[in-house]
Amino acid sequence: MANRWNLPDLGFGAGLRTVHFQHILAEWPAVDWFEILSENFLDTGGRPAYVLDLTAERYPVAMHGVSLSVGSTDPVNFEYLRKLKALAGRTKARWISDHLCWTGVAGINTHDLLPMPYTDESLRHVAERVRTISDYLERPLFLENPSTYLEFAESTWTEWDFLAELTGLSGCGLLLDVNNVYVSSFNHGFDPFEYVDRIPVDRVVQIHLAGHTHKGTHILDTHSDHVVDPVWELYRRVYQRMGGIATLLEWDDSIPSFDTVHAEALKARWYRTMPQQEARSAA
Amino acid sequence: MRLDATRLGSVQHWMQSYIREGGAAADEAAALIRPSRALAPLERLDIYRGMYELRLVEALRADYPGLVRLLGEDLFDELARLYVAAHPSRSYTLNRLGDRLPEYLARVEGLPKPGFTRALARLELAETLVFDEEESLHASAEFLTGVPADQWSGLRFRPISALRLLRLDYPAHLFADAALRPKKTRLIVYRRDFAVASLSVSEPAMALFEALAEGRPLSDAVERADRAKESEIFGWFRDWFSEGLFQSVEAAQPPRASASRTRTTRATRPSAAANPGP
Repeated sequence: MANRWNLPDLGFGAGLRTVHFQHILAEWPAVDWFEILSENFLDTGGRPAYVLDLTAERYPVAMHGVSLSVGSTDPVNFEYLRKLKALAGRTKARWISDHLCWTGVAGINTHDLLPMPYTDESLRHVAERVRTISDYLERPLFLENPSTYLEFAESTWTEWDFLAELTGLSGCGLLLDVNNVYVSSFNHGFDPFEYVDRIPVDRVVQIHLAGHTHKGTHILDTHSDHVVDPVWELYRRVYQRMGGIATLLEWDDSIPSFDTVHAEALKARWYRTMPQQEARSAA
Repeated sequence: MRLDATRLGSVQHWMQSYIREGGAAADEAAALIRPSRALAPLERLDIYRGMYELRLVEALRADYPGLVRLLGEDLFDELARLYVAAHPSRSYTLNRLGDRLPEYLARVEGLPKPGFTRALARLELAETLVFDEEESLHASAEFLTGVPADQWSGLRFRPISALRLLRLDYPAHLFADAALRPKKTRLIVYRRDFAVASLSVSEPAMALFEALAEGRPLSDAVERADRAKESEIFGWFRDWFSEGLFQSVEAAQPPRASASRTRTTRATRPSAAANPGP
């Protein structure tokens, strides 16, 4: 099933992380593609830029950001967009994504993915900013559903309906983070399968998978562990509904060897192809 | 800060204010946020507040590992929280969060080993700046062999971008017990093969290099070297070229050995296999 931009299923990728630079340069591992955290490469001309340039010569690269702050009521930061656009050109990035969130106001960046109230006002506000950003970048923008730890009393939309409506109003696509769906479903008490079943299929170009930390009262999206079985089952449901979509394994804390990260990413292939019981025992 | 829970801008300003500064907010949180099965509205908001401090303090720890070791984690974290409150991030990148920490520490009273602490902070900031600078081409000393003797005085040496000059009151680069004793220290902090390094130099050598970095011709720069012997100066330049500290050398007239150009450069990006991690 193709997305409306005919962007390819890049296969099973991993994040390009500093701790793996030496291994990647020495081994050029057989990973399908890399995702970079855009901000880590915007203002550095040293080793990260050198490694990125060599990586982009050999692998497809997608850019994923954390500071776009698409939901903020601050003005759009065009200096940031200028650098983002230049980096995308340099790396021949397949696409640029960020999050449905805001990171700060009054010129301050909290460096956190803060939640949006899902209201009509938010919908209009984000849709307008997405259009402005996409026009500047001269390419579609892809937004990821964030993990959230609170819900606003004023929200009148579910997150999945908000995202679906936003894609139509703004022209944006989606990066569906399956772990985030699961995390938020626990934190807010909704059905994660209903969430993924309501996401418009032709808008999703990438999937994120990651581990998380269960705190008992809530789950934190820490990217610090293996993917848990319920998230794999959710991933299977997404595959059954949407077909093959570029899948990226995020591991950003307590990062193990590259081979371990890559092996975790490749489990997704099993969940795409194996019947439910066999995949569970194989993983 | 007054909260209007129906307005996006008001919600964001209020939330950010609470996340950064805390304070009594249970009533506002109850109006703004739904409780979960296990957490009250303010407890849910406190998840973000806790992660904010943790994330920024961790970023500063990463940029100032020496200060963490010197001060201990508890004191460093306390200072980091105070610093972040005074200087919140205004950039899309966390890499620049700690740029004003040395300046901030210069105003903090009651620091243990204050002179050394401040020197170390300045060194670690220089190292992060050098780490992120643009890569430069490196000038070769071979260029000098083609320059006629009567043109040497007019040579201008342009340092690489990934380089900072530091005058410190302590040898902070020798972070050990011995380094805690005051000693005038002059450092060239630079990047070579993508690894950050530092070169300790004498005051005359520092003065000479500073003059070169300001764009002064060699004859002017040498005057700053305060009675240094010619052999010493040759030794300094040998070391500096060896470490790749210049990206270009410009003569007023083209040197005889390469008459078609006024500068000579060579690319020095190392092979991947020879490139250790930072």
